[in-house]
Amino acid sequence: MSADPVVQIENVSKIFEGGTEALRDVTLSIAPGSFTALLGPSGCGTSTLLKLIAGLIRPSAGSITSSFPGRGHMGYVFQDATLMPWADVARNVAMPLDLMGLDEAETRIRVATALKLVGLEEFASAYPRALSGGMKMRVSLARALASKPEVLLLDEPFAALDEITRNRLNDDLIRIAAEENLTIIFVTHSVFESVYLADRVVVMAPRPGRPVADFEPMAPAGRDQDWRLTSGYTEMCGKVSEAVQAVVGGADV
Amino acid sequence: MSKTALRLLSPIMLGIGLLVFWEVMVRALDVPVFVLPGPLVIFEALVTNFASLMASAWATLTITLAAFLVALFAGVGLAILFSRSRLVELMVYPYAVALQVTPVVAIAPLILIWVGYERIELALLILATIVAFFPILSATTLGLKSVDHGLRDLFRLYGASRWQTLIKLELPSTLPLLLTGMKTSGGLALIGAVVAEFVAGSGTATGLAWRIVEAGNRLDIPKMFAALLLLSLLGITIFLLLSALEWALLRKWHESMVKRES
Ligand SMILES: Nc1ncnc2c1ncn2[C@@H]1O[C@H](COP(=O)(O)OP(=O)(O)O)[C@@H](O)[C@H]1O
Ligand SMILES: [Mg+2]
Repeated sequence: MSADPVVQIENVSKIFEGGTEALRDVTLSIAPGSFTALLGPSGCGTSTLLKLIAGLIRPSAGSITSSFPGRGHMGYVFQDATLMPWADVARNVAMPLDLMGLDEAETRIRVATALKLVGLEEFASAYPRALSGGMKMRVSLARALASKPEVLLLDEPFAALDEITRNRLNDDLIRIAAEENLTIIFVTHSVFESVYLADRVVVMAPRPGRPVADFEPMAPAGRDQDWRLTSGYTEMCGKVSEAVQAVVGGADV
Repeated sequence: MSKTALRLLSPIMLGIGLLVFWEVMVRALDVPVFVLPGPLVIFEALVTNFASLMASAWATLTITLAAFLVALFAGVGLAILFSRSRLVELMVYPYAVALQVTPVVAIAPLILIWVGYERIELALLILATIVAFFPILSATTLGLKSVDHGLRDLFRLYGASRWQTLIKLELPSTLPLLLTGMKTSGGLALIGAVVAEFVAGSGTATGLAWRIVEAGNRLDIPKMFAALLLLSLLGITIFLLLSALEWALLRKWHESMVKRES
């Protein structure tokens, strides 16, 4: 088949100390350059799965291998921008490079490049409190891009934003993913968002968290908002919706 | 009149008004000086005893500042230790609280005996530090516990060392709370120094508190007021300096420094 997976998750289970079984026997391989959406109701273990991939927590069973060990190869974006309020935008974006010990000149170039990617060149010396929610998320995205990662993990990154801002950030993300040749794993609760963004949608079920359906929506390269109006898009949304409905039993959505 | 001018002038105007009222009333009612001296007499006492009062103010200030600095470093240091080891926190914290809730006046005689009257300065320093220490410890402990979990995760993701995490994440996160603790602690250090001087008593102490006792014994009420005035000026100066430090460090980014229309 295609090239070796960037991330290989094999028979992974995670049981937290309190006894919550967050994930059971998850097997998933992530192809290089792919855009995978993890879709499911709250509590289906998506955040846990991303933390496992990032190596922030250890699996109770199974194994996770990444073809890029070492730091700086994974970027992580949370639902909150999680910026350091005491540091201006440039220093926030520089944080990963700073921690990894890059020299100043290289850091400055990378920060400038990352800010340009998200369209915030003008705001390098602004403090987070002066920025709108959408701009804060852009800073958060720039910070994740600064270390030039191979893999970008996004945990409901735009869920707290208004729809207009969210759509713009989605388009920017598609552009950046293509330009930087990124592998993306994107958690969302929205069927429409997942089908719009991803070229693969993995539907997860809760209690315990596990993948139950795997779609390849085959979003056209260079897609834009017009794609939302096509019948291909609508059809795929319908199919994915059905899988989600099956998971939640048509109730408590 | 501009808002800033109003903010500066209005308390000054009130102060001058009260002083004039005080002077007038003391004269009109013919209040004896040993009951309540007027502002002019107090000022006169300040001028006559200027050298000795300033020397005393300097002595009290030195103890206060030293106690504040020791409390700052010890409090922050212990809080960091607590954040690194839950066991240490569980073991030590109750004793820190016990030290805090026991009135310093009650501990003072014991400390004085242990340290010895020949090293009175050290005894005063220890007592003032005990009083000033707790707000720093509790503010820093709370601050270190409240560090954003997402940021902690990111620091781990990028392989930050403990030292990097402390300097670049934990201390900056704690700074606003620490500065509040420092303002409380600065005032308490002065109170601690004064109380310790009172307890230390005759002959040995040289600070402002002792001048007050001494003047009281001689019924030199104007001098008492003059020393009291210097004490409160010390307290106000410490508070203003720490507020200025807070403003300088937080003004660019902290919510408490944002001016809003409504
Ligand atoms: N650190 C933790 N300790 C204990 N239980 C947790 C922890 N993190 C998540 N869980 C539990 O694991 C389950 C999955 O959580 P999570 O991965 O956050 O789901 P999602 O992100 O899909 O909403 C939930 O029941 C949650 O309460
Ligand atoms: Mg989640």
